[in-house]
Amino acid sequence: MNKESENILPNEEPEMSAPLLFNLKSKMNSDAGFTTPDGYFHSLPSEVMKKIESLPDFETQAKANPFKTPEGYFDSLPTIIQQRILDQNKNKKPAIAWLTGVFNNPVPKYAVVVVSLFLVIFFSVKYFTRTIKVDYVQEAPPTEQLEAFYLSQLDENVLSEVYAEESIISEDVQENGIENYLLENDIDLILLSENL
Amino acid sequence: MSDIEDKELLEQFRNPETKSYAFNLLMRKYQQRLYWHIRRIVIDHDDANDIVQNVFIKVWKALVNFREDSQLYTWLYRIATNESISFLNSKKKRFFIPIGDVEHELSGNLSNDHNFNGDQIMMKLQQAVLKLPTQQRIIFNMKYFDGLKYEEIAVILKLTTGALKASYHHAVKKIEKQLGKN
Repeated sequence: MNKESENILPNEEPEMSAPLLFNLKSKMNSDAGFTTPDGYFHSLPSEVMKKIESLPDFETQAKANPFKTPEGYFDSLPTIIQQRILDQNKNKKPAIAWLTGVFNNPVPKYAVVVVSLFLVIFFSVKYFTRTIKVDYVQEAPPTEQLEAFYLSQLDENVLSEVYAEESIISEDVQENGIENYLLENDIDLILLSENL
Repeated sequence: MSDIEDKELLEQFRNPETKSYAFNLLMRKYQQRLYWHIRRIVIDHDDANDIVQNVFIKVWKALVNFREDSQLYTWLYRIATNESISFLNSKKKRFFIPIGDVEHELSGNLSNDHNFNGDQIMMKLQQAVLKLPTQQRIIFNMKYFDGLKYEEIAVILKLTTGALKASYHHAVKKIEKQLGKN
């Protein structure tokens, strides 16, 4: 109902403005034409009680709790919880409070300063006096060794095929100069043998 | 029955040994008032019977928490009104009845209701009442048929007495006009 309807409240009583309606009321029965089956109000309460009795009885069900606790559990539980809270508060010392405590006490204060200085000096000395390890390139192995190595790696069949390729082998290749040729032309024999 | 008797009923209801007995007394005391209030809203006896039974079952469950700062019968009326309105709303949804047409449907039910034996003028009155919007119809019923005071209706429906008076006056005028036409 909005406030607008409150503002348009008529001044006269409704009985004055509606004679038909209120003459009718004086003549009518309380049920105003409606009826109910015989004995309805006599049986209604028992009908409702039957329905109520068929409702699940949560109170009784809740009382029949199947779970058990150790004897005296609930007597000791509050004490146990309070003790745990106290223990937690003891162990939980904030970091700032700990640092303040340290610097308010002269002995740990100097100890912290001395230890800090020692650590700074120690790591500085260690850093500036470190040795730098340099790996030098090994000297090239003698030519004879290289020759022997490549010869051991060469397959005769491969060599014969290589020879057959005129485009690859030039005329100036000497009998004992294959190794030099391979080296000069940057041919990897291992790779070559894998591809064959 | 006086308020003291309601208090006695409530005390007995809170005692597990007399709970069922007290509730039986409570039903016998209020069943007719609640039934007729509901019946005028939903028209059909079977619907009213279902609702009044549901109302009492709800009361059984909630009465233990009833605060005695309000009167028991206004609390019961409120539950009955809310249940009736919920029923009409669910009927609208269930049968896809457009809002406002539920009263038209109820008017048709009234014509075919074998549990309505009013004469022609009573039928016309009820048909006129059914033309009112639901809330205005409930206000009219509570004032005209149940004879409740504006203050009591205001508590039940949680409305101001000024708004109620205006609504009732408008309802009276509309119905008078309808009766005059016929």
